[in-house]
Amino acid sequence: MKLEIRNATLGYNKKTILSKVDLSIETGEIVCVLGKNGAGKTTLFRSILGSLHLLAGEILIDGKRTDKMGIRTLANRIAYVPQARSLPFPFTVMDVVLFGRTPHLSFFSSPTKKDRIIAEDCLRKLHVLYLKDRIFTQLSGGEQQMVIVARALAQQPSFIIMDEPTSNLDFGNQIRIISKINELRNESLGILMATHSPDHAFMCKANVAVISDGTLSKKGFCNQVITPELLQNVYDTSVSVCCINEQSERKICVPHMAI
Amino acid sequence: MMEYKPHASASYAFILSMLLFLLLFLTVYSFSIGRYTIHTKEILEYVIFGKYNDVNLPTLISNIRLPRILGAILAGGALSVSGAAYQGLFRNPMVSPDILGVSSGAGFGASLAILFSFSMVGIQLSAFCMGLLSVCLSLSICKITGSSRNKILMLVLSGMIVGSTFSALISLMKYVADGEYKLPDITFWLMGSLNEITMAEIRFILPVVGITLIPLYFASWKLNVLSFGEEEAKSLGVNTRRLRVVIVCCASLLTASVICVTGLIGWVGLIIPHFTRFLIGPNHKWLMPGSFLMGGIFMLAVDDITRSAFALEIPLGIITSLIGAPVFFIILKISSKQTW
Repeated sequence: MKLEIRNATLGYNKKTILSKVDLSIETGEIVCVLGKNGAGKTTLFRSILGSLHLLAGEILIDGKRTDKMGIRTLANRIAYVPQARSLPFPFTVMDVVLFGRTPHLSFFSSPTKKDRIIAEDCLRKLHVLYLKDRIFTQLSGGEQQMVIVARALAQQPSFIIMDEPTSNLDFGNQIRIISKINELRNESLGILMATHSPDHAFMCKANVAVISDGTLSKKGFCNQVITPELLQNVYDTSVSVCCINEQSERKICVPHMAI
Repeated sequence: MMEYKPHASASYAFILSMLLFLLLFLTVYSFSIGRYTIHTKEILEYVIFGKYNDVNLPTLISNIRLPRILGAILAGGALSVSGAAYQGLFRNPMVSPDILGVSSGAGFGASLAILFSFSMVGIQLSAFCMGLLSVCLSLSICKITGSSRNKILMLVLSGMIVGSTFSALISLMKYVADGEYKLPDITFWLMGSLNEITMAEIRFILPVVGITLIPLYFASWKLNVLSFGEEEAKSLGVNTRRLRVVIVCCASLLTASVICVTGLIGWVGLIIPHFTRFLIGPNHKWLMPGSFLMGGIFMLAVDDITRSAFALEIPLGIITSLIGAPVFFIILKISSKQTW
């Protein structure tokens, strides 16, 4: 499947945030969106999810316009892992993952045994099945994030959109989430994720899209796209991009510090 | 520290059936309570075999105590379910059914009708219509201010605007009412009572409650999903706008239909869903029926106390608050140790 944004203008109440946006993601691909704070990453995601109307252009899944799809159909195709969350009631982890089954239910029904099995499979895939009966609000940030990813998997979507999935996590949990995202890569799933660290793109061997100056520019494989010039341009910071050693293709960003 | 243990659905069903059993038991017992003492055995004999020795028994049971008991169960249950639904919709366990101004609207409607010496039916009709009107006003204010991002916050603020306006109007009605007859009537209505409830009123409340409970129950899973907020719920495939309409309409109808007959009864819609959530967890599929049963039990018990404990019958609204406040305190004390 293919998710395409064609010549779109995005923004709030006629105020343009991003214009001339062209982006396409295929299943099996991981695309990292880089850009500084407030550049418009969340605007891009809200537009794809349909909670923000396009000012111009169109978004298509396999050639079909997403704004013509119902809320449920769209939720069958695209799942969302948001950045911050608050849950006012003490639901269990199982309940939270079952929420992901909602687009597969009719308006007035609740999950069945089949949905429970799917939910358990998703938790197992992420190695967090042992959290099943815990209260979601009592989990640590890293555990909560895993559960939300499991919820997204339970939607059985073709695409998952992640808004800085590693924000507010400690170093170890960041690595764990990124490597799980890497493991999820397969033919039938495409992942679009915003990230605050270009290193994450290297870790996922992802394709990169860059948001700067009110538009989405540059798209390509991370090793080619992420260069010191680009980072200087986007983040206003001078950074070297090096290979971790001579044998490896893996690159890493090293910021220059003014001492 | 108390650990919250999630139960399997079998144990939820068990808790619900225990509550149902308790409610039935209390119902039978409530028939025997009151000025005129009847033994529980006599009631059962009359209900099951139609036998009675006391000539007053049939009238007393079917005309006086039956409407009152049904009224208590329906009022308690309806207010609690409506509270649970609003708490879910507003994602806040501290919300009560008057959040959109139903109570102040209904209170104003009733005071106005009393001031113009309307009949009992006129007062109830006026309270019902004003209650619903205030919800419509809240919704339209929310629509006019039109923030696209935080609909729920705008709804709460609109409800506050409408609620405080109607509260001021109630005070105005009290101020201009004649102190001899009408002021006490208004004051008494505002305190809430099941004193004068008749079968005719039950025949009005029962279908309204019955019909509105059905969509609320079926929307319960979507209401769970809404806990994560509107935008996330949408990305999970919930038509949040439709859900909001269903919940607001049903919960407001429930509340208005009850309080137009009983007057204002505070606290029930706030503490009962809270207490029930404490008992069987936050899943609305269990919480809704659980709240109805708990609300019925609570209101029936409170009404039994008002009927029997004091020489003078104290208005229901006073007792619900007097009992409700300490109960709420205890729940908060226990639940603050565990989840939220």
